[in-house]
Amino acid sequence: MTSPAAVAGLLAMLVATVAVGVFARRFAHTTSDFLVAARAVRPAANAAAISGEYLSAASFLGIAGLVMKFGYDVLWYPVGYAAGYLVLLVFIAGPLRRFGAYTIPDFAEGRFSSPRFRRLAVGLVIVVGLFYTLPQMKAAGITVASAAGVPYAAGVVVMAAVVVTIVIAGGMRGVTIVQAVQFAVKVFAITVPVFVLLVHFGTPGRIFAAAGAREVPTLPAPTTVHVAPGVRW
Amino acid sequence: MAQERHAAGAELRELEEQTQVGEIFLGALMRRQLRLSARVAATMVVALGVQPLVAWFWPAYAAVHVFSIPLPWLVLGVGSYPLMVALGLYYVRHAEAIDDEFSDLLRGGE
Repeated sequence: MTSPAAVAGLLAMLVATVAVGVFARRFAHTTSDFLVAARAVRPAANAAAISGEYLSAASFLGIAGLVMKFGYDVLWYPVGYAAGYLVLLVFIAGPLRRFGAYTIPDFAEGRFSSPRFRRLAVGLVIVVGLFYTLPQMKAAGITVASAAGVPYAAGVVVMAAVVVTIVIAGGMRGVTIVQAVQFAVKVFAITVPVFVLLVHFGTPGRIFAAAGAREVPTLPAPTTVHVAPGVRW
Repeated sequence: MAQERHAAGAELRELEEQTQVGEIFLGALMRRQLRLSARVAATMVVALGVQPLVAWFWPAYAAVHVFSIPLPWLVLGVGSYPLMVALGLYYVRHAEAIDDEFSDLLRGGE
């Protein structure tokens, strides 16, 4: 699996990511700069950043693999993720903004006039964040290990170092800009297979027909996805 | 626009602390906003939830093909996203309109 091109691409991406994140630091001088990006992030960039988060390894590779294995049923997952954003908008983000709070802990303290409640909210955010980060770091380690041929632990350490560097150096604005840039990269990467498949099969209909006609791919490396013939519609 | 709204919120908080009328106004505003949120969420739940029901009561649904792609795939995998964007836009516009109406009311009452 390891190829010089993969290693070069990985390195280029890491260097570009850190460079973009650190570049954004120039504008971060105050606490407000750091936490809310000084409100200097335009809606389009913010939307790109959130969409970049949506296009994580889970949706990018995981959903593609699960749809390949289980077909239509799994198509509900990405729709559910997107529906989650709408629920977030109407029940959390909207009320939070009207209340004048930036974060859930801000709201907890403001609404109940209780610093203890704020600390409780912070604790919950950290617990949720921890369980969100665990599989991300696991996937990052596996990806770096398999693409660059380094030990799994080295992959985890490198990715953690990159993330910590960007957050410390760039603050909220750095993180947002990095996510926005990565959104463009991910959209490009996720589009390439579509074009390849269209060139190969001609029309979307023929791709579906081929998937139904048991022309399933064989996987050269060990994986947890076992592709059985006959994708269910 | 956002700052204007923010100012109205601060005014409102003062008003709320001072008078019972403010409390009633605030309660009405919050109920209107909650009803809007519930309406948007319910629309989404119905739009998505009706799809398995259609497939259950009308099994031929799964066999319908558009441009040789199964219709349920198109409806769920493609159609869901414009619907959610439209619902999001609807929500943001109406939530802001409710707020603006309210601050107009507040200013008019002074």
